[in-house]
Amino acid sequence: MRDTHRHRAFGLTLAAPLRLPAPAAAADAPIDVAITVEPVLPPPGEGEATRVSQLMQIVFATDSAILHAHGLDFAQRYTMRITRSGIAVGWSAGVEPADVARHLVGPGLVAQALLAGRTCLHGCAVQTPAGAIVILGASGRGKSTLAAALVAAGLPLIAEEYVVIAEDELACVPAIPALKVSRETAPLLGLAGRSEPTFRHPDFAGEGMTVTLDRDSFAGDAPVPLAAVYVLDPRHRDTGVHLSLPLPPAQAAGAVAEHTYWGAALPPELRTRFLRRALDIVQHCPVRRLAVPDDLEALPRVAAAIRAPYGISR
Amino acid sequence: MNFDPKCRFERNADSFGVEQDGGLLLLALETGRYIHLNATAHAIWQMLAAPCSFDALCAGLQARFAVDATRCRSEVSALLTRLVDARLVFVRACEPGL
Repeated sequence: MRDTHRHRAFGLTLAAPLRLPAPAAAADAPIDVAITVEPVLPPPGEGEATRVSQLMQIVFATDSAILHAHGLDFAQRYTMRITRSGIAVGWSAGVEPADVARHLVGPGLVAQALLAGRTCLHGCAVQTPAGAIVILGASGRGKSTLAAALVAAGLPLIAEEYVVIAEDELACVPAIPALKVSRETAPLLGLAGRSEPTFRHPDFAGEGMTVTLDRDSFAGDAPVPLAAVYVLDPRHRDTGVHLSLPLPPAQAAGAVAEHTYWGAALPPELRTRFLRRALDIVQHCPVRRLAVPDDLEALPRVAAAIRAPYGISR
Repeated sequence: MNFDPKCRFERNADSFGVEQDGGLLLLALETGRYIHLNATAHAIWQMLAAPCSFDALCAGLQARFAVDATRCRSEVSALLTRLVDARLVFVRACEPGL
C-alpha cells in the first residue's frame, strides 16, 4: 500500500498517495477530498469532451467530471475522474507523477470546486486590508505577472490562475502558496531563488516557472471577503496605468461572467450558478477595467497604483 | 417598435434579478445577458409579474409617475423592445376583447 500524504489546498484537506505541491495538513485532519490512483482512462470519444487548453480536454456532468491531459503527440496521457469527494488519477508510462500532482492542485481541484457548488473565475487574487482584490483577464493579458508584482510589493497571494469563490459567502478561497511566472519575470521581481519549472515534461515548458511562497506572502487558510474586481485590458505601449471608474452594473456582470473558468465547458446547471454568482459579485463590489504597460520594468509602478488606495506603504 | 395594444406581455420565468443602484439588475438565463433597469423600468418589470397588455402597463406607470401619455408610451415601448430582444419578456398571442 502506498503512503498517504495529507495536504491543504483551496481550503480543503486532501489525502493523496503521491506528494502534492501544497502545504502539509495535520495527520489527523478530517479528509475532504480523497485522491486515489487507477489505470489511465481511454481518450474521450469524438465530440464528447470540450477542449479547455492546447493539452487538456474535459467532460462535465452535473455530479462528476473527467479531465484528459496529454502531450503534444498524445502518446503520454493522464486522466482525472473527479467527484465532490474524490479524484481518481491515472497516467500512462513516461508521465512524471510530479506533473500529475501539479495539475491535481490546479485543474483537478477547480473541477472539484465547481461540482461542490463553488464558482471559479479566471484570474488572480491578492489580499489587502480591505479584502480580496481580484484581477481577471484573458490568457496573455499578464494576470500572473501582475500578481507576482503585487506579492513582491507586499500583498499576500490568495490565488493565481484559479480564483475560487466560496459557496456560502462572497469570499475568495486561498488556493496554494505558489504562483506561476515567466522565466524573465521571476528574477526581475527578486523571486528567482525560490522558483522551479512548473512542469517537468517538455511539452509543458510554456507554463514557465512556479514560485513557492513563504508563509508571509500567502493569505493563509480562511476565505478573504471580496473587495474589488479589476478586468485587465490588453497591455499597451505607453507608460500609464489606466483605471476606469466602476463599470455600470450590466457591463460589470457581463465582464465577470465572461471570466468564469471553463464557462463554455460547463453543463447548464453549473453555468446558471456562475451567471447568478456574477450578479452577487457586482452587487457587492465595484468592477473596474485596468490597462497596464507592456513593460516589465513598469511592474512596481503598477503595483503601487493598485495598492495605493489601501494605504499600504511597503 | 409598435406593439399591438391587444397583446399581452409576460416575463420569462427563466430570469433572475437583484436590486442594484436603486434599480434592478436582471439576468436572462436563456441568453446569459444582463440588463440594468432604472427605477421606472423596475416598476414596469414589477407590473409584469402578471401578464399585462401594453395599455395596462402605460396606465399603471402614469398612475405612479408624473409622465404624459405620449412620453410614457414611447418609453414603455423602448423598454419592452429591450426586454423582448433579451428574451426576458415574451409577447403572448393577442387576445380579442382585451
